[in-house]
Amino acid sequence: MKNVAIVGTGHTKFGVRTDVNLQELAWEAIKQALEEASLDQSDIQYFVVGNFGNWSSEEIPAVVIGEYSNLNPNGTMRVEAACATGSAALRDAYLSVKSGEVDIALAVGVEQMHQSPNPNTIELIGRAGDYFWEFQNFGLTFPSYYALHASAYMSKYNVKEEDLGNIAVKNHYYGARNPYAQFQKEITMEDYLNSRPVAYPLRILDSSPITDGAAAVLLASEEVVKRITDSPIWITSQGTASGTANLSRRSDFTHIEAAELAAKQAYKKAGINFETSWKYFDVAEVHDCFTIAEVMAYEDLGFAKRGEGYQLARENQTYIGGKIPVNVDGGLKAKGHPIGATGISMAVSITRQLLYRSHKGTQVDVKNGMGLFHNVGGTGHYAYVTILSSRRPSS
Amino acid sequence: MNVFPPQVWREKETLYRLIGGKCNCGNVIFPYSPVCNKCGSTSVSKIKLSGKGILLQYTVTYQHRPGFEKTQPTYVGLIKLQEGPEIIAPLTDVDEGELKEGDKVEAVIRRIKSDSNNGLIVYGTKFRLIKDGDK
Ligand SMILES: [Zn+2]
Repeated sequence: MKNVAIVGTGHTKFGVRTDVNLQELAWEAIKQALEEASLDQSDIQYFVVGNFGNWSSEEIPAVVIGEYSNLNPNGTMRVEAACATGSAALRDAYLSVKSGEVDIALAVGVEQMHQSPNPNTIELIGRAGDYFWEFQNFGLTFPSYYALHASAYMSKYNVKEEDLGNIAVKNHYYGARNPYAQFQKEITMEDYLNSRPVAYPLRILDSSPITDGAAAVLLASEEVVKRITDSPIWITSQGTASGTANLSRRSDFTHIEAAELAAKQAYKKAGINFETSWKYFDVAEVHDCFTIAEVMAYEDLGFAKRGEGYQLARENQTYIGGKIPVNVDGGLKAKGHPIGATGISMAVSITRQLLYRSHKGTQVDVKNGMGLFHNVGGTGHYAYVTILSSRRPSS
Repeated sequence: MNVFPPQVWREKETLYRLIGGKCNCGNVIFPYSPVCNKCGSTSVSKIKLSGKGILLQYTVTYQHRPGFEKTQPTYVGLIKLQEGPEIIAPLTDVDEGELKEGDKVEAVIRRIKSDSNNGLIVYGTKFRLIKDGDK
C-alpha cells in the first residue's frame, strides 16, 4: 500500500449556479485543482465523479464531465453515497492510488440542485431512506428524520433551542467570511428564534440550503508527490460505515452510530485516542446538514462526552481559538450543501487550513498539522471520517 | 401524482395489516423481513402486530410535498409498539400542542393520497391517540 497525498484543490462558489451547466461547474473546480498542482489532464490516470444527481439533467455525469474537461479516455465512474457522495468519490480515488493501480487520480464532486423546482427537490431528498414505508406511505420529508433526532436529543439531555441556535450563529459567522459560501451573512440568536418552523423542533435556520457547487482534489502517490509539490497534505486514514435504510430499524436517535464507527476506524488506523481526539486536531469539518447533526457529531467524534456536545457550542469551544474549531468555513449550514460536492469541499477546506491558505477571518492556528472531516449520508445511512495531515504517514 | 397499483398491492400486508416478522431469537421486525436484523437468522415467521404502542418522540413537518397538500402540516411519530419494535409512522386526528411523550397510540386505516389523474385512492396505516375514556 502506498501513501497518498492531496496535491491540488479546487472549489467553486456555492449557491444558485444556474449560470452554468453541470460540466461547466465541475470544470471550474477541476481547472483550479490542476492549476494549483501545475498538472494537466494528461497527468491524470483515473477520475471519479461524486454526484447524487436525481434532480439534474445529466444521467451519466462522469463521461459528460470527462469529455468537457478533456479527461477522456481515462477510466471513470459516478459514485453515490447520499450526502456523503463526495467522501465516497474521494475514497474510490484514494484507494486507486493507495493500491498502486495509478499514480495520479482526480476526485470531483458536483451537484446542481436548482435544476429542479424546490418541491421536486424536497420530494427527491425525501426518498433517501426506506422508500416504501417512510416515503410512499406518508411522505416523510428529509428534515423530519433529523427533527426526530433533535427531539430525542433535546428531551434526553434537557437541551434548549438556543443550544441549536449557537451552531447556526457560529456557522453563519464564518460563512460571512468565506467568499465561496452560499450565505455570506451573519445571523443573531433573535433571527434564529424567529425563523419559521420546517419540522418541529427544527427551523429554517437549523437547516442547510439547496445548493449548486463543485469541488475537486488531485491525489498522488508518494513516488510522484515530490515532483509535484513540496507541501502535500497526506490522507492519514479513512473510516467508513453504514446504517439501516429504514429508521424503524434504528435503536437510538440521540447519535449517529455509523459516524461513531467510522471515526473509531479512522482513529485506530491513525493511532488516535477517541476520548482525547480533539487534542490531535487543529480543525474539523463536520456534517451539519441540520444544527442537531453538528451537536451529535461532536460526540460521535469524541470531542465531547455523550450528552455534552451542546456545551462545547455553549462555551464557544468550536470557534477559532477554542478547543477544536469546527466548520470555520461556514459548514453545510452557511457554505451550502451541494450533496455530491460536500465531502470534497470539506477535504478542500481542511487541506487549505493546514497550508495556511484559508480566507481571512477563517484561518485556524496550525499546531499539530492535522485535521479531519466527517461526512454523513442520510441520517447515518452512510458515514465517512477522513483524517488529513501535513506529516507523511509512517507506513 | 401517480398511483402504481402493483406496488400498493404487493405491500398490502405492511400497509393495511401491520404484518411484521418474529425471529426464533425473540426479535420482532417491522416491516417484515425474512432475515433477522438482530441475529441474522432466517427463521422468521410472520405475525400480525397489535397496532398498540407508546409515542416516544414526534415531529411536525411543514414542508410542502406534492400530493399531500390536504394533510399539511404532517405529524410524524416515533412509536414503540407493544411487541417491541420502534417504528416511524404518521399520526392522525391530532391538534397542535396535543401530543406528548408517553401518550398511548393505536393504528387506524386512513386515506393516504389519491391519484389526480385516475382517482385511485391509496389507504394506509396511521396512528391516533388513545384518549382518556377510550378503552
Ligand atoms: Zn433473530
